[in-house]
Amino acid sequence: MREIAGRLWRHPRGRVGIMITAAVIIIAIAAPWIAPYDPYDIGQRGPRRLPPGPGHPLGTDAQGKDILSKLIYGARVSLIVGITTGVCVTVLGALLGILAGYLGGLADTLIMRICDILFVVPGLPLMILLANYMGTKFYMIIVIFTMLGWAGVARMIRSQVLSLKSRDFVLASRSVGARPGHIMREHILVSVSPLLIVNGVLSAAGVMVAEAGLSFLGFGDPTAVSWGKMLYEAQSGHALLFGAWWWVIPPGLAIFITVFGFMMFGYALEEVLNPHIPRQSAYSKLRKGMARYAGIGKQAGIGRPGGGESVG
Amino acid sequence: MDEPTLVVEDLVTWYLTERGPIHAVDGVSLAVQRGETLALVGESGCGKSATALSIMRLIPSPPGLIMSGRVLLEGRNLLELPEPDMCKVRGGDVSMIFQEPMTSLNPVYTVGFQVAEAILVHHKVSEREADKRAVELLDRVGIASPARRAKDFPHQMSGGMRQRVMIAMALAANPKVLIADEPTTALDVTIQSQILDLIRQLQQELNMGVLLITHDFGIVAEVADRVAVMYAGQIVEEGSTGALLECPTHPYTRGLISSVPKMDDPTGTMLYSIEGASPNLLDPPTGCRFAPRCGEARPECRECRPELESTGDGRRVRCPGGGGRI
Repeated sequence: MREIAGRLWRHPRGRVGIMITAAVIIIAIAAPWIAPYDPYDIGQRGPRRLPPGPGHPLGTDAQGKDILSKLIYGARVSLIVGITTGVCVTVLGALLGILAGYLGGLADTLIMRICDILFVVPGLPLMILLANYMGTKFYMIIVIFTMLGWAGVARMIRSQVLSLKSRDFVLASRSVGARPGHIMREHILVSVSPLLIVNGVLSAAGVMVAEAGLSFLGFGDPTAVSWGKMLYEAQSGHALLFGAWWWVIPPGLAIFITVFGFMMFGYALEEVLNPHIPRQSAYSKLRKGMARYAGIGKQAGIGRPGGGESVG
Repeated sequence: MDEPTLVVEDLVTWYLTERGPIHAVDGVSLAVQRGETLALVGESGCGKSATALSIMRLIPSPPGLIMSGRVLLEGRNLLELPEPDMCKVRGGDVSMIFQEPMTSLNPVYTVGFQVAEAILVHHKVSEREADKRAVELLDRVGIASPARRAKDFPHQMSGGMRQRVMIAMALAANPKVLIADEPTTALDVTIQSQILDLIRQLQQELNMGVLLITHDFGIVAEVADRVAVMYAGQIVEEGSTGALLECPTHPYTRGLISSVPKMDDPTGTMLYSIEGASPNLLDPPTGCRFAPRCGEARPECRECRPELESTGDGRRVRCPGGGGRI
């Protein structure tokens, strides 16, 4: 575990991802202490559409609310929706994917046909429809995304399980009397877990974008302060007509940076957990080649085949 | 003689394919007693492994399907057991080791963990106790400094060591019968004899019956008490090792033994090999299955289906010519 964390930190994109993700999480947790105003306080009013300046570092919106405070609190909604959905989608997808792949037969047919149906359902209109009918509380968004999102994970995991279950070590485990539940837990789940973790992180990033999109279209939780909703308000408040760029750029940038951080984290994690993916920037290749040429490779612990990169 | 521990009667296993059923195992009967080694010999694809997997009920299904027959372990028919009971039998009463020690261990766990896993499946003991017993088992199968090696991952071990680990896993619950499916095929010759010695030694200590599947007559001569020769899903000849190797009755057995290279063959002679290829089991020959390749086949061989007949001395042979026409 510590070894993986260490390798992630040494991975250039991994480090960027960790730093951005950690920063956003800290901001979200510490929001009440670092935000200058409470955006949930209806009484907080300042001058309207004030450009950035002292008192309001990022200015105010059409209602005179402090934009920096909204931005800081908005991280909470994005993260909660993103991370919770990422976890739910992964757990549900893994469970059903492993069951379908390992048990086969009726269970497989049933689960995969449900997946097929979910794949052909047009996602965005359905989400809008459901968000309208099931209420726009933000946990409903989590439920909707989970319901629509698990199918992709389940299908991917199933295909992995189909290959895993015909491996010799699964047969060997069965031959000493291990039960299906034990094999699915100890051999199959453990083998697909790197894939699950990576996929969970990346789907969290995807869901954050989708949540911002829904909120931007006006189907978000009306009571929550989120980045997508800030964009929605900016759009409906004709921010650009008034030249209020400070109202539009910060939430857009926040969404971009956060998703970028999660993506970097996810891709780096994938490269660290899966040794089959060659992970070499042009720079590190050059460095390895030069180190080998100069005969200092062994000393520096690089340049050996597979040196320091085997999973152990 | 005691009642045999493992008795297989008329086992029939098919692989159901789109082109029709493949008769992989077609009426195999055999018996293994405690402390005895029965070798099941035959060329690739003759149904040796399918027989073993059917006994363990590990035949991949679909496409594999056990059609009929009985597998009696001390009188209990394994083919009728519900799956949870069968899980107790696997590794408990009957264990199996496989041809490929390189891939039969899970690369993400230490070998000690995997042996302990086999113990925990069958015994209600604490994990600490299971780890302790795992080290004892590793010691028993001849792994030096077992406590340290238990913490190794499979990729840190050689093929012979991994096969020893597999044997340790198979012995976790003191099975009555060990099925060894080509246990030494993937190993080099010196390691081969070490592993065979180990199996033989453990067999004596635990009084196990061993069903050894192989295609190597050298191994048969070395370790087997009795031999059953399989061809195209059927047993064609069975007998004690000495008698069968010295005077094989069935033309196929004779062909097999003649095709083993010998030290005193004059230089420059061609190694004998049986003409033709084994029959397509989708549509096996109507008469004797070996008739198309048999140098001694008579017209009636291609029509009547021979039965496995006793020829005295505990020997059985399936040859329409009655065998023995040498």
